[in-house]
Amino acid sequence: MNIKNFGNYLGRNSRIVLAVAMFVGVFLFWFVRYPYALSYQEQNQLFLYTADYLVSDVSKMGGLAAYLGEFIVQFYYVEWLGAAMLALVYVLLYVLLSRVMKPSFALVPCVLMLWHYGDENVLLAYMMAAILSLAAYLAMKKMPVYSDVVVVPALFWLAGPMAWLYVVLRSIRQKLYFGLALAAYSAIVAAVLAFVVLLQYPVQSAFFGIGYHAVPMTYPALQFVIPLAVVLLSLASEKLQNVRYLDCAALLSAVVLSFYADKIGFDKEKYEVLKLDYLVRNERWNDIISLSENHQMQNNYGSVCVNLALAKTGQLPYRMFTFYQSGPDALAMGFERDNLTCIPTMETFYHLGMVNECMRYAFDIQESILTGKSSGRMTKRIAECCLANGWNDVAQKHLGMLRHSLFYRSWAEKAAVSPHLKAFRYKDDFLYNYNEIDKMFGMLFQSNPKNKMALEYFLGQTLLNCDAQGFMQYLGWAGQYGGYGEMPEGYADAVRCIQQRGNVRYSNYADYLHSFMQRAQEMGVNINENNSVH
Amino acid sequence: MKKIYLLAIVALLSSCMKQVENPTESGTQPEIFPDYVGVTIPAGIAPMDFGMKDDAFTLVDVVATGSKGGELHVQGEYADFDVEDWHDLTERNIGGQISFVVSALKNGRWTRYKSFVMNVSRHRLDDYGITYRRIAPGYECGGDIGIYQRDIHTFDEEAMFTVDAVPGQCMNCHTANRASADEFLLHVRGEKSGTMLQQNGKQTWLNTKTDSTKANMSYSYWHPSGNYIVSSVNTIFQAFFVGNKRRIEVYDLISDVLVYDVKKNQLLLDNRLQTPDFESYPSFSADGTAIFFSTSKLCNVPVDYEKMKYSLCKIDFDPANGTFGERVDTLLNAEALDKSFTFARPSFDGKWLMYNAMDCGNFPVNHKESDLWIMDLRNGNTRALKEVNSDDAESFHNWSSQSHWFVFSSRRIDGMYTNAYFACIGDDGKATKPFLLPQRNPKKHYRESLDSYNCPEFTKTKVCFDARQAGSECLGGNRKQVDLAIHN
Repeated sequence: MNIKNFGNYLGRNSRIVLAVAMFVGVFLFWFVRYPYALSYQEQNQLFLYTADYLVSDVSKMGGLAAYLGEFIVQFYYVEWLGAAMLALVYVLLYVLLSRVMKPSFALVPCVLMLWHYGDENVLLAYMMAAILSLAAYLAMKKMPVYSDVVVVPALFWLAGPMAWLYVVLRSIRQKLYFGLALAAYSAIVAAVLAFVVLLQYPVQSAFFGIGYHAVPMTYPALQFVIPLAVVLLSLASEKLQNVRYLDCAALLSAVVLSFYADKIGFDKEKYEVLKLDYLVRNERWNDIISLSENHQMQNNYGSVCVNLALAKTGQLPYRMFTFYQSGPDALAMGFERDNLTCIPTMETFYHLGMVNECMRYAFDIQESILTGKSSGRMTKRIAECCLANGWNDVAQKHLGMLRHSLFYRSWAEKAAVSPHLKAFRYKDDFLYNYNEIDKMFGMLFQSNPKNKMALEYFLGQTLLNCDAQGFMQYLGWAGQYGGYGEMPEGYADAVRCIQQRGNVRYSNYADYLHSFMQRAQEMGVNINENNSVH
Repeated sequence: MKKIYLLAIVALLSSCMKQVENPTESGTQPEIFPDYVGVTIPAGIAPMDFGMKDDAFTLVDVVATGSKGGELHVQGEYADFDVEDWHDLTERNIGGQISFVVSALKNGRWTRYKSFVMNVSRHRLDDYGITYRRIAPGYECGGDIGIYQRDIHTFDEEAMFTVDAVPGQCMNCHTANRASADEFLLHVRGEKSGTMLQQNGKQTWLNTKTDSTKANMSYSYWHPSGNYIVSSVNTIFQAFFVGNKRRIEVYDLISDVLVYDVKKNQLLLDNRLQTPDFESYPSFSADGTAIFFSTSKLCNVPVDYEKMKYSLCKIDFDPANGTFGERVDTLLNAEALDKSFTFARPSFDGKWLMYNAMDCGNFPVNHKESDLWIMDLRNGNTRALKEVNSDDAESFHNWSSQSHWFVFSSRRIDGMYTNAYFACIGDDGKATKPFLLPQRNPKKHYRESLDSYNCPEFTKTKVCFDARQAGSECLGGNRKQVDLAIHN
């Protein structure tokens, strides 16, 4: 086959060729470039194979789209599988779009959709709603408009306000009066839903969508631009059929747009956070350290992640202060009410054996998911902590849920508690106090001196608090229980700094001390003569 | 002809039931969930569906026979009674008993158990249902919460006001005036915090914080006239345990009691209710001439949480002019009795005062040892409601409008999730064995539910609540500022 024949073949089979290209491109985009975005989506839901779960979804406006979206998202648990499933969804979207416009034009809304999903809180329900609306349009293309009396309300309920895409595509292809009548009827349906049925929601939610975005009452511009682009490109396809080089222009636009989408649609800082969470979740400690060596987030979230990775690889006492430390919260953060910030701290508590603290954070992180959905990742942690506590009835409630999922089922069937949770948990009962987190770590270590991580966190916390006296007092534990051949360099550096009151050149701990003092003075925090914070 | 068809259908359905063949006779009563053996129920309550506790049983056959007539026969995965048939049976047997013969199938073999009874009380429970907040038993985050109402004669539950209407906010402490659906208040917390009052269909949003009071109104209770609301103002904190016996201790850093004059939009303060000590959990007496409240000596919380012991006290109140009595009477002395008493709630007929007693603290739901106690207001005698209490926490409670029934919260099922229970009080002050809020397929429901039933209250009729308006007003942020009036 020569080039000309190949070109002709591509032209005749452009839809298939572009669909395959779409699959490969989307798959690689998510699997290679942003697998952690998929992980984030997956951990904010728990898809259950139960009738109740289905009913719970479809009993809300846009519920079928939500259900289908959640069904796909569950596969993100395995990154390549999730990326492949998502790529298939994009291909489906493309194929449907290519039936309402030129195949080359159909790439543009797909790229816009990719751009839209740069916002990590956009739910797959939105794309599924678009797919449902387009599929309905194509299925009903040859049906008379009076059949929309049933289809329109059904589509509004099943797909949400994206049903307007169906309505507009249908209306513009009818005779004027039929089109206007359809549009008016749809407006009445939307109004009835908003003012009669959906009274538990603000009016805006009823009109603009309930389950399209994880943050309630959030409507990014692209949510409206995409369906508008579909309509305009559909019309343009009809009007500009014979314009030369149009396909090339459309292809070029899609390619340029995709680069632009990646550049501005995917907030690099935000995705760095997602990446770290993903690595923590998958216990890829060395990857966290490598990442931080190249570029470390200069905040408490980044510090907690890298410290956890260092501890799990036995490097914390050696290298802690070679990395950025945000301050006394660098080992464990106080709880912040969102579904992401405190996950590394939750995992830190888990690995330390602080059962109740891990469970509390996991519980509240799950309650912070604004869609109201359960999280497979958090439910698993909660179940395990309940089992470690001997709260078997409560554990069974959560295990029961996991047993109805696809990817958590096998763990739930075995329901094995990691031995370290029971071995390392506090032996006494007392009130937790985040303001004395150093003592919390110290008492944890005292509960089981084999808990080397607790020891390192205790000593690390005294250093973060600039508690020289405390550090020197308990440094002996490192020698007695740490199992180090010689004093770790990080501790040695700290000892030198303390002995020389911070005047040590090329000292990582001295650098921390100076920046800590500076920050404390800026904030007006009182530092006592031992340089500890109160 | 129609009758023949009906009979044919019944016969056909009956033939779908498996025969209980060669059952092994057990000399014991069945272990069922919920434990409805020997409970007392009101006529017209929702069907008391139940299942075998042991999951190995695949089929249960139940014959329910009324002592005054009527019989139901059901068979299935659980005892699933038809609502109308059940209502008929209970109505026919008011003052009598319904006897249940349970046979259950496990591994292909039937076992027939000794029969048990449910008593049908002479005291009717005609209130429409209960309202409650559904919330996960979390820590510092409310999550997907909402206030719901449940028709206790059927299984119908309806959302009244959920977080969907006010995204990002939290609602709590909904309180009705003596089970009235027309007089109702709730608090919303978060960026758009406020107190919503609903009276006769009209919603008013208040800002109850003033320069002279330490916090917004929280634990509230209506005056029977609807003209006053007595409330605590607290700053509430939580402390968390590290062991596996307890999870949370709730404490106040500051806590006072005041009265809100609804008509004048004024807070009525009294120095005896605004001391440096902790005053909280107020309620009006049934005739509205006194305020019950709990008070604890100031202590260093949370470290000394075990020293937080609340006495139960009373101060007179004159509703004619909104003034307080001359002295505070101590009804139950916490130090003398070495207990903490909270949540005093008088029956609306003025006979009883129900309250919580626990070792220390002020939040009974977090105290396993917390029990319901009752005081006879006619003679001051008090006792623990042993016939109602369990080994786990009993907490928030409320009376039905006729004062013969009460609903309360308990964590007796698994120690973490709070559920609603009902019991009846006789004229002699003895309570009946409580029963869990009926559900269709209760084992599945309670096993899978991830919500606690928080602050259950009776409602005489269905609550008509405009959630859209409430949400819009809440998010709009406009609040009517309450004023101040000081006495003493």
